Formats: sequence, C-alpha cells, structure tokens
Amino acid sequence: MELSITRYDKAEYIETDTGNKVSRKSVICGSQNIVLGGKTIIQTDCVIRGDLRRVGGGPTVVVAIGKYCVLSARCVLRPPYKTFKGVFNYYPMKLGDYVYVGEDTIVEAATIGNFVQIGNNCVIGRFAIIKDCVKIEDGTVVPPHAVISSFSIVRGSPGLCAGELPECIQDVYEQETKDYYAKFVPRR
Amino acid sequence: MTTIVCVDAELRGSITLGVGTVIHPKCKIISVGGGPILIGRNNICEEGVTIINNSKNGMVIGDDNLFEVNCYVASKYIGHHNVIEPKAVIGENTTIGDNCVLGAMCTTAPDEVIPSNTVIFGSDNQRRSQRPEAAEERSALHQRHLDYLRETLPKYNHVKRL
Repeated sequence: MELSITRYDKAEYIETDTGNKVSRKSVICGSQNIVLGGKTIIQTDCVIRGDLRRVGGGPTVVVAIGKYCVLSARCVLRPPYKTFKGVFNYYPMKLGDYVYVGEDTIVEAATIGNFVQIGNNCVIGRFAIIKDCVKIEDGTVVPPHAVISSFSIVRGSPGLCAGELPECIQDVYEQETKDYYAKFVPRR
Repeated sequence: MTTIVCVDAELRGSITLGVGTVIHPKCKIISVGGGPILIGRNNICEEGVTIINNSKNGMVIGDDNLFEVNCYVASKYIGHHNVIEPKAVIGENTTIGDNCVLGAMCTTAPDEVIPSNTVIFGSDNQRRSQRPEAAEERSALHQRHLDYLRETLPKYNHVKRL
C-alpha cells in the first residue's frame, strides 16, 4: 500500500544534523543520556525517560535508539528496573534500527531488535526482549521478561505468538520506515 | 523522607499528599467535582497517570501504592500496597482493598468492590487471589524504588519539595 505524505508544522519540529526530527511538544527527560541513531522521528507528546539511569559509574546511555525509527504520538519509552544483588537500579534500554512504535504505546523493554513494528496502544513489559523482524499487533500486552523470537506476529493480552512473518519482511519494514521518513515533510 | 512532585505534573483542586509520595512528570491529579483527594504516604505515580475525582465526595488513596504509566484512577477508595499497571482503568465509585494487582490494560466495573489480595489480569479481566505475604515481599522493592527516585528525580527534573 502506498504511504500517504504526512505534513507537520515546521515550527513544532527540531531537525538535528543527523536528520532526527524531534517534536518540541515531546517530553524528553535527561536528554544527555539519550542517543538517537539519525533520521529518527519523535512525534507530539512522546515521553522518553533518559533520567532514570543506572546509579554508579560506567556508560551513561540510558535509551539508545537506532536509525530510521518512528516514535508515534503519545508513546512512552522508559527504561526497566529491578533489584539485583539487593541494589535497586534502572537498566538501559536499546531499540534497533527501522523500529516503528505506534501511538499510545508504552515500552519498558530491555532490548528491541531491528525491523520491529509495534502497533498502537500496546504495553511492552519490563525487561522484555524482542528480537529482529517482529510484528506486535495493536492492543497487545507483552508481559514482563518475555522473549519474542524473530519473525513472529504477536497479539492479545498476554501477547502470544499468533503467526509467522515471511523472510522478505526485513526489506519490507526497511522500505516502509525509510518511506515514512521521506514522506514526513513540513507544511509549505 | 521527602515528598517529590515534578513541576511538569498537573495538580488541581483540593489535594492532600502524604509524606514520601513521588509524583513523576506529566502526571495529572485533578479534582473535577470539587471533592478533596487524599493521597497517603510513599505512593509512586509515574508519567501520564490520571487520578481524577469527579464527585463532590472525598477520594482516598492509602499508602505504598504504585501507579504505573498512563493508568486512570477515578475510584473513591484505594487501600495500601496495590500495584496499578500501565493503562489500567479503575472506574468510578470502585473500592479497592489492600495488596491488589490490577494488570496492564485491565479495567474494573463501576461501583465494584474489589477485596484485598485480588489480582486482575488478561484480556477478559480474569480474577484470582494472591498470598497476603506478597505485600511484604514487594514492599522491600517499593522502598528501594522510592529511595532511588528521591535521589535521581531531582537531578534531572525541576521538582517542588513539599
């Protein structure tokens, strides 16, 4: 299906040197701990919690996002937490390349691979691991600590594997996210 | 033991916050009907949480509750040690006991009374009960979570210290 052109208000979005487009109406806490891979779109009223960082030394990246990602309106990205050896900590979260996150979705996953599409109104539980090439359908609840294997279609509450994706899906999702970025243009 | 309210949060109407409660940014606590909202000690309200009182009567929330991202609370009474998971909806006039878990995206019926130790889960809001001791096991985690937030939130967010 041909994707239609999305027009945005030029005053609302900040464009960085690497082509990231970030809405001024999004809430980005602790921006010094967030890495965007380039050509990533962050839309209105998104919340990204880079302030919830691991206590102590070491690398300070809290949320790492790959290239050509789309974070739709009102989605929330927050790192997961747990106690390990009696110490409470938040742990870093990583999104791969070509990831699409739908509207109103909450992501508390540990890792999301490349070429993943997450639908609208989903909840991805704490420390979930989503491998490459996965489709999460609208309204899915992925339970905490779940591992979703490659090429699966997940739906329901709790989210269960409901089907398989074809092998060509990597190219399809790559093209779709690139297409989305190319057609995300300011209003004239 | 400090109460931390991020400046980005929206608080309107007559609200009483207990000592040690932590309110994340983009949290909404609103009294629409004019009734007061009484929130106990050591609660955590994450971003996007809506706590709303539509009635003229008071709304009471106990101690040590965890309200996760984007949940919606319009109930008249909530006890202690409850976990309200992301996108859960608590209807009007609902009463919730102690040590309950309301799963992600689950809802309660209006005017419902949910007894203590209930767990609501799944797409069709199934019920089961959990051991009462689970509250004690969780309270250690909750306490550490609070300590972490009290230390970290003021470093990155503008907070009101009450």
